[in-house]
Amino acid sequence: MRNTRYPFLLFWSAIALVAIIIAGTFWGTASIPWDQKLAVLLRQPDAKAGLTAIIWEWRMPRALACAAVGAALALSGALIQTALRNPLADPYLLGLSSGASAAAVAAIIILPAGIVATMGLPLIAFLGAAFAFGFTLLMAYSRERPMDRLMVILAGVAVSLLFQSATAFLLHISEPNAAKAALAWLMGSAAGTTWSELPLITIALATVSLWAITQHKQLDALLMGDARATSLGVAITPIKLTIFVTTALLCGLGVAIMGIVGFIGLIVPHLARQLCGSAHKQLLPLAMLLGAFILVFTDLLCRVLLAPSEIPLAVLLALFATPPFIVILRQTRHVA
Amino acid sequence: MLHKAQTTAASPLIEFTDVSFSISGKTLVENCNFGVQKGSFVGLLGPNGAGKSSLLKLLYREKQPSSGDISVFDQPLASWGRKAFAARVGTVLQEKAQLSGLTIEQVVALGLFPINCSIDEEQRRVKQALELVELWDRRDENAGFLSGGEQQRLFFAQILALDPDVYLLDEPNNHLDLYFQYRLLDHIKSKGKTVIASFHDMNLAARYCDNAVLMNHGKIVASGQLSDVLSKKNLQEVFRVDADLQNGKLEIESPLEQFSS
Repeated sequence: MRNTRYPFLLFWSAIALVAIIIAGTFWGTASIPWDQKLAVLLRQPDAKAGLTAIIWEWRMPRALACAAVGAALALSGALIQTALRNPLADPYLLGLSSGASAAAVAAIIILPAGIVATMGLPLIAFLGAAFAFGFTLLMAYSRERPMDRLMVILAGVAVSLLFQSATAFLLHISEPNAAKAALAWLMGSAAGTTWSELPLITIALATVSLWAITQHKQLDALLMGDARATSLGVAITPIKLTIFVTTALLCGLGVAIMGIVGFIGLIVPHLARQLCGSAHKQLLPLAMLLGAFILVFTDLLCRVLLAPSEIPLAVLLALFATPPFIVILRQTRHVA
Repeated sequence: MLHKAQTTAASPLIEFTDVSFSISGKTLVENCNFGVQKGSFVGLLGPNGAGKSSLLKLLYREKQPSSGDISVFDQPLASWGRKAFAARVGTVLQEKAQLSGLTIEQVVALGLFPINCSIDEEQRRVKQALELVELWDRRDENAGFLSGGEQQRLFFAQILALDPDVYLLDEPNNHLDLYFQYRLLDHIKSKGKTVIASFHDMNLAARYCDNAVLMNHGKIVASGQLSDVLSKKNLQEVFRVDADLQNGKLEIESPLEQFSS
């Protein structure tokens, strides 16, 4: 029976996540001798100040941010695949990534550096994502069939195309240096993450995951289709709208911290389904742990493989994620 | 089941008053009036596209009527809380579902979503229902791999575990083999609950229904005793067949219009 091994899966995923966060904290371009590691971690007076700064101000918030964003994307992906009952749904499907990209690229290329510095690129990207998301829902809304899954998907695709063409146009007319800066942002990076960026996404992640797990039966009912869920007493429009808004919030916050991070939201829920089935009470915690693990692990590789230069997250995620994705798809039995 | 004009002193459990339903300018249910008495088994009959499923959708609240009133248990339908309503009115739909990744047992347990029951009670109900549809031994299997008929048995198990006051069955014999068609409907009939079921098989309708509502083009054409509803004239005009209902058996001679090649 599938459920008997679930506690072990969850336990070992949690252990693996803690281990990879520790590895992400201590492993990097600047090597830290073993005798210094504990001193640095405990901020002892005899620890070298430079190493303490690297660990505490640079690597630790970065690893934790990757864990939070990875978990947020995996949670969003699982929820949106349920709401839209589409295995190819992705949290970015609602126009979020293209809206955030267009806003960030426009800011890098058009706006004076002073304004960008004052507002902050993360806030600009978040606003772009929120705008595109609102636009998608507006286009998808129909009084007769509110939150119809095909309408939402098609509206998301249309809005994404619109903003992608705006991004392409902006890159086309931009100066080479500005274009390079914009492309670096588009490929996603966890570099430069600070402690101050963590509380908001952590609170949002905790709130949304608690909500989702308490609603696990309603989410399971959605898998059977709107009509069956309705006949069981599930109010489908409010729950779908909550999924869309919380997904937009989590992904918008994720984009604000490290740009566009693809694949996690699409692939990790499938991976988790293969391991524990589609019941959300089991699926959501496991997907979040796996998403967190994979992003921390990938970010670590991005930092160390070609050190001292960093590989963009998008490159390694695509490289590592695509082959297992194809294998999963070929074996897949538990699509959303 | 009674037409409004025939209503007796006992107020109907379910009552439709001038109910119409349109979508995208197309009228699917037009000016329907009827009542269903507690404990009666009512057959909803009519050709494809007659409005039977639309009428049921209005009852299980997937759609809202464009005009008119529906009352259930002496209360306007719209004033019922969703879960409280679903706890008393259960539905078996005709569409197939994608159930991939949920076990057979999990799907049946989902049927108990409208009511709050203890884990022991939930397990007892799920076991009893799955034994009835002969899927208990396969309870840990992925429900996504079930055949159409097995899936239909699974949804019967869902509603049997819930055991609501009113059973709404939209073409319940879809995909089921002969044994389960009779086994499951006999079981529901024996409970003496109120049932509204749409049928294409008139012999099944004749076996189970106390009363019938005949629909065509969204309107109620006739209602009352099955023998009156399925008169030779109605069978010709609505179903376009030359047929006779005798002793609960429909003898079909031929369709009225042949397909031209």
